[in-house]
Amino acid sequence: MYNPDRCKTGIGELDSLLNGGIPRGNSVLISGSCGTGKTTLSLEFLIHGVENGEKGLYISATEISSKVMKNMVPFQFFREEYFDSGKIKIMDIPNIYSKLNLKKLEFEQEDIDRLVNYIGEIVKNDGIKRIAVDSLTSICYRLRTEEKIRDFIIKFEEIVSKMGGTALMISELLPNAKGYSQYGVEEAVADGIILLGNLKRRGDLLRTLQIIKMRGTSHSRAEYVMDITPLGIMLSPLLKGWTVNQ
Amino acid sequence: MIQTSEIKRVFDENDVVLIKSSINVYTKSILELVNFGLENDKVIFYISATVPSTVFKTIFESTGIAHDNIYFIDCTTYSFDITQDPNIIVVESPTMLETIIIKIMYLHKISKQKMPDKSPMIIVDSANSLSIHNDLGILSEFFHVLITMVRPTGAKLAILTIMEQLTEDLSHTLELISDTVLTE
Ligand SMILES: Nc1ncnc2c1ncn2[C@@H]1O[C@H](COP(=O)(O)OP(=O)(O)OP(=O)(O)O)[C@@H](O)[C@H]1O
Ligand SMILES: [Mg+2]
Repeated sequence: MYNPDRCKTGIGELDSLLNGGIPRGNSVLISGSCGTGKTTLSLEFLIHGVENGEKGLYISATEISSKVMKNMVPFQFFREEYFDSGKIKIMDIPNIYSKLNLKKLEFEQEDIDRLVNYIGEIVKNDGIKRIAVDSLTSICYRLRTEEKIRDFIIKFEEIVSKMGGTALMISELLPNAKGYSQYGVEEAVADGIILLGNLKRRGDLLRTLQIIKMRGTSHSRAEYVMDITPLGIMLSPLLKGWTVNQ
Repeated sequence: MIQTSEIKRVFDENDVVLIKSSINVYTKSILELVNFGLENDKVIFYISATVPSTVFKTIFESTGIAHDNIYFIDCTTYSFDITQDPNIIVVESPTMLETIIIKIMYLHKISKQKMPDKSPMIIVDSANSLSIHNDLGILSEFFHVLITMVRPTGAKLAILTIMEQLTEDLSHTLELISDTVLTE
């Protein structure tokens, strides 16, 4: 059933775990260590958006966007024409920085404002409804202090919610990290957190997905096993192995 | 050996059938089952936990069974070489039960795209083998989740066991989750 208040991710069973999708206007942290599927999830989210008539913006900071695209070719959900036709806009962060003449290693307040305003203009002019920032962590490197990170995220979130859009902000974790973000601020100001991880079980390494928080909806809090299939991300409940007959 | 008429009768009336087959006729029972599935417009998802999928592919070929509509989820081969075969999906270990569930749902989706009229028949070969690698608790949970997920697809599930190697505990656990038992 279509619910205008919810943004369907289109990913496997994630929408039902979210009770219908991400509440529109939310900016959600996708946290995980390297190779856990953050980029795949983000692009699946954007491509599904186009199928729902929602334009997307992919802000790429860590990998060259052409390389990211190439990795997506094997997936059945991938639609190159969405990128070619501009239904999903791709922006490489280094290009944005040079365009805005942001050269400093540590941004000042006015740099933050220019960056946010620049993104805001594009979102407004192109009528963008879904954004993926891959990754937020790499932008945070240039912000350095908690105050600036908080300021940037809150301003970014304002743009997203004003547009009635939905954003995924990728948070890169170290393999043994405790929280959900590198500076700690990100997880506090984000509207939601979806954690991608690895679970070691008797020599197997399983991919996992868990919704940690999501403002504006009830949701599953259980850990799910995730698999990256040619159809995209798919989920199964994690079996706990309670023992019968004991 | 299980008779085709018996197979037809139990699957007409049930979705989840526990099959206890003697080791002497085990392969023959599988062939009967596969034949039944194909003749009744099913697409077969064959979970190989005992004998590598390539072996069964060869057997099916030699007995003239058309195997285009048979997909294997193979957890016996610790190699990704055979992933070249579009009908074989490798799961690295029989302990990755959640991954087996996801692969089944994946196969269901792609076979629905290709053959919207066919519903799946899932053959687990065998519960004995899975029970070597998984304790009864998690195995029973696996079947519960699997059945809950595939029932709405109109799937039939055949859980194969080798009678001679069946412990009482395993037999009891499997009977609890099955709609009926077919003993040869
Ligand atoms: N076609 C594919 N089919 C299945 N799995 C794939 C495929 N392509 C990549 N993968 C798996 O997905 C992983 C990478 O996923 P992805 O790039 O989305 O992760 P990420 O969290 O963004 O990683 P990073 O931290 O490096 O940015 C690979 O390590 C690989 O295991
Ligand atoms: Mg990535």
